[in-house]
Amino acid sequence: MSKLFNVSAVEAFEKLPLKLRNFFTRYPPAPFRQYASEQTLTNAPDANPFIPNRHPVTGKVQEPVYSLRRQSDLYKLAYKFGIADLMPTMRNNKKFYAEKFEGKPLLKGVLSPKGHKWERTYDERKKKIADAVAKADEIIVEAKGSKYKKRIERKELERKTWF
Amino acid sequence: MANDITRMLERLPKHFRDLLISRIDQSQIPALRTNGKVVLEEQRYTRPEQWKVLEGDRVMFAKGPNKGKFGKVLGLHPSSNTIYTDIAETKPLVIPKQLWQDGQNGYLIDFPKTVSPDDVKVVATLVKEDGTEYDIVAEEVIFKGKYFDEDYKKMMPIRRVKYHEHIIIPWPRPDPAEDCAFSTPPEVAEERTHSENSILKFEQPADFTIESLRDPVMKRPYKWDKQVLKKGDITKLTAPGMPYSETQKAMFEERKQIRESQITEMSAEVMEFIGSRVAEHLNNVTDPNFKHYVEKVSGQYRERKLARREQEKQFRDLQIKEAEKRNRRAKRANAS
Repeated sequence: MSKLFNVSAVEAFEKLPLKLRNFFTRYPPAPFRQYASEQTLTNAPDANPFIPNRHPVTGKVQEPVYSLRRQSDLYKLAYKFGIADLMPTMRNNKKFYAEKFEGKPLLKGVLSPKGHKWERTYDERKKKIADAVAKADEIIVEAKGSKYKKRIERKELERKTWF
Repeated sequence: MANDITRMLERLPKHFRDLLISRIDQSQIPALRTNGKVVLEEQRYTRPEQWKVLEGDRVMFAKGPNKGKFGKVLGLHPSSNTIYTDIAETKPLVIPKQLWQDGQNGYLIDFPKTVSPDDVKVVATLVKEDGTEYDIVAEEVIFKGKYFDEDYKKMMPIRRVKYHEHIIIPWPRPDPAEDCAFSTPPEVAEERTHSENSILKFEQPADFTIESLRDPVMKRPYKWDKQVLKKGDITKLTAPGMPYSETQKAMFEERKQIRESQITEMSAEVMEFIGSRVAEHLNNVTDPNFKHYVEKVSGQYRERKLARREQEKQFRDLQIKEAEKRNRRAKRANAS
């Protein structure tokens, strides 16, 4: 497939939606400004606009500058233009798309499914049967006595082979 | 009495209301039956915006046997949200002798049927630049703006042709109301008989005292006659500090600081940094749909769109202004 764009950095920046441009104007990305990943004071230099911060005077927790919906909008827009990693971190390290599922622990049921009872006891039962078949002669001899034991021994002697 | 009945009917559930109305109709003589065309009090049209046409308007019939003909609105029938027109179907109706009109000499008359205002379209007369008049029929009308009408003695909405808002269809002139013996002439009604000298001094006599304006025999206790006031009550009864409290002032100051500290312009190196990342991403794009998307959401596209919209708005405003000027000129020519 042929490449559809051949743009310089300035031209590419012009292609960004205004919503995203305004965001990055107000909150420059990581190498130019750092953002806390935890709650800070609202007037801290590294206050994260995506996290509810605490007011220094009143001590009350304020809503994040960008609501969860707007955060999500901005992130998804940035993702489409390949600059999602330049956004400040979200609360509780929230992720979207593939990243969201990569970090998730697998569920117990997925790792070791319980299964039906016949599935759970299958190996055990098969072993029990195999053991019983192997010991079958001894058990019968015990029940029927020495006469049966002699018959088995005789049959063993009389067994015909090709050689 | 009739009002009481309609109010009672409106409170009933619909199925029961319809049943009652039909029973009432059955007990009436044919001339007084509503024939199920009665509209509830709250759904009746009261404003010109709802009627769309008023008495005296020229209309074209858009439905029914008179479709395509031109007529005139003779009156409104609010109890069924319909209008009387000069061209109308009639139905034979038997009228009891007590209700005979002047000049009636038989029981059977042809009673005109009413038409819904939705089934007619307003006809307007426009004037060309050279003075010749021509008629147009408005497919739909909308209402934008208001003016005081001297003849209706109230604020009337401005009726315009939809999608051609510069064409204004004036309301018909109502018949002038005649004064009766009990009417008060406007000079008397507008005469000022009392004027306050000061808002600080009351004009009551010095010995005039009154404890409360409330009815002394009222049974319900007055809510501020409380023995114990709560915190909320005290807040309500205390006048606020003028003009702003210290806390509010601090808040304004803080907001001002936040506003000032916000970055409003992006530096060139940040732009270069972000742009290079975006360029790296976009230059690998092979999906034509994604390219279309990028063109549509890009800031440039939006700026262009807003500029175009602004230009269109200016052009439309200009057209409306010109049309208003033209209508004024035509009205002046008609008056003279």
